Amino acid sequence: MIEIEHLTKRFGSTLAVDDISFTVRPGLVTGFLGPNGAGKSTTMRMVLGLDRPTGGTAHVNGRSFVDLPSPARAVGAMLDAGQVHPRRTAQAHLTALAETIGEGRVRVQQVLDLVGLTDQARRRAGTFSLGMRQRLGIAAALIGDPGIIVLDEPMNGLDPDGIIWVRSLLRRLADEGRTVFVSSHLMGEMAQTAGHLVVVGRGRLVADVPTDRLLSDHASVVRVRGPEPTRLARVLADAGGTVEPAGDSALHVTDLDPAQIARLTLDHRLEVHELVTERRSLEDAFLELTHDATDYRADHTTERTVTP
Amino acid sequence: MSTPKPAPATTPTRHAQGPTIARVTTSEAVKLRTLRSHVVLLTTAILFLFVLGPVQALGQVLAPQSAQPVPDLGAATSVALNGGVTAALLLGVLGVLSVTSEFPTALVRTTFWAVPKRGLVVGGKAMAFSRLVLPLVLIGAVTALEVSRLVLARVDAPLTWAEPGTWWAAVAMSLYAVGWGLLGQALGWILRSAVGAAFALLGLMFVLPMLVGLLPRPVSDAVLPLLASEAGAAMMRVDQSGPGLAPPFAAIVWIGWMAAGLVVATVTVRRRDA
Repeated sequence: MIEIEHLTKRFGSTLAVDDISFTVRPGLVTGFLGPNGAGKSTTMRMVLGLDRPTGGTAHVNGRSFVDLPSPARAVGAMLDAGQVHPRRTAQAHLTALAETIGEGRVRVQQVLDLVGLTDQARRRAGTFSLGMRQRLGIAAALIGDPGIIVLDEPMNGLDPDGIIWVRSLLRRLADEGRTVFVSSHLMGEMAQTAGHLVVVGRGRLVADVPTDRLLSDHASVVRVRGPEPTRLARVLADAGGTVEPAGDSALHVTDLDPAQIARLTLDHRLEVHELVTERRSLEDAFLELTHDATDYRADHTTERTVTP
Repeated sequence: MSTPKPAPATTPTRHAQGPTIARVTTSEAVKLRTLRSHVVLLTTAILFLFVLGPVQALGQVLAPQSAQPVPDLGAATSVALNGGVTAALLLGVLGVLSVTSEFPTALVRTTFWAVPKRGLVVGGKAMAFSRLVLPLVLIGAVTALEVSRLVLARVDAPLTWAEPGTWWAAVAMSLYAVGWGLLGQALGWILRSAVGAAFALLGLMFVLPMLVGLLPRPVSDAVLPLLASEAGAAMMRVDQSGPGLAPPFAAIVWIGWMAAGLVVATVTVRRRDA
């Protein structure tokens, strides 16, 4: 169990993580989604005690990671597949890590077998493909047989085989009752892997929901077009819809179904030229979720440029 | 592709299975000996230590008229341990690299994940370095002294194991060489850059004494003997006379520099985001 409360991190004038709270539960894969630079890695580093929070707390099994009696046996972590010295062999890298918790050759062999790197164990990590380095990183994370696993972008740069392998490994770890917390900037990938999604944008928490609910909530959008878009937008918004301009005097409406929209336009005697339901991809849902957060940043930048 | 079930870690009891200074030292020793560049540097340093001295001793024997005379034990040991300063320099670089090699790849984050108490990592690296290097330098120094003794016997140089000074020379040489490495490690932690830390180490050992020498006489006389470079040199003197601190006090000052460097390194590393 990972409990994050009001976690905040400021680097100089940038707020990388802005008052985030959520809980990662055991027994399922929790996806940590957000565009690049949304604060995912910073959050994970704070969970692992590598970065010091500006405010708030990140607790693992009820205390901060640094105070755990045997941290690497409680939480396995891969923050970046490149965190291996390129001239050191996979075996040597894992042995050095294993020694810190009093494990030896036997455990190193087990994790090498687990990730399928046994035959490459004596090769230097610098000669590995990105996929092999990800496997080595996962092997390192599992060296202490941890109950909690934190992986930053473990599917980055993997071929389809590798992605399927990571996905089934993560599910298996979760099925064993472990807490699995995995970040990604790819919604589609996470939707197929994670049972629960935590979405961040620009350092803020945007969503913290079961994956299937997020998908159904954002699965479709209604496109409405008429000669009076301003009035139409007001009416729909007043009725509880979320309305966004979609160009060519059309509107994209969520939170209202087509029947409700038709009823409203009829009640308000609004002319409608087009009323269709559009299926949306997961990426669209993700963009919509993180849209406000991204906009916030864009506005901020503009403001700065205008007023020197 | 198959997904084998993760096997449980081999130790059945999971309590108190965390990192200890002994475990971190072992881990760091693995890191130290599994990079070829580190092994090459260490080997080169030891070779310099036991080759340069005997070579110079040979010069004394073959061309005594052109060589400096070796009238006393001090002169004789300094011939025998002639390679020591070069060895110390190389070991200083090894110390720097043993720390800074973790930064370009951010391996240090993996290290601090496995060992979040960062003082243990700073201490473990220092212990691993000392444990590996000290015996080798000691063997190298004793060998250099013994070979030189055999060679210098031809010119009746007063080099003998019967003098405690000869033993002291070997021990002090080892402390000196390991100390360079530990200072290199401390500067590596503080500066995180191999080039920066290497230059800082050279600055500390070679430039700082020159700068202090430029200060007004009473000040420089008081401060100079306490500098790492001067204390290190005074520590290796075999005779009790001569300028600077007496060798035992110099040794204490020298070890004090190591300790201070590692304490500052620990404080810096603990305060910083990894």
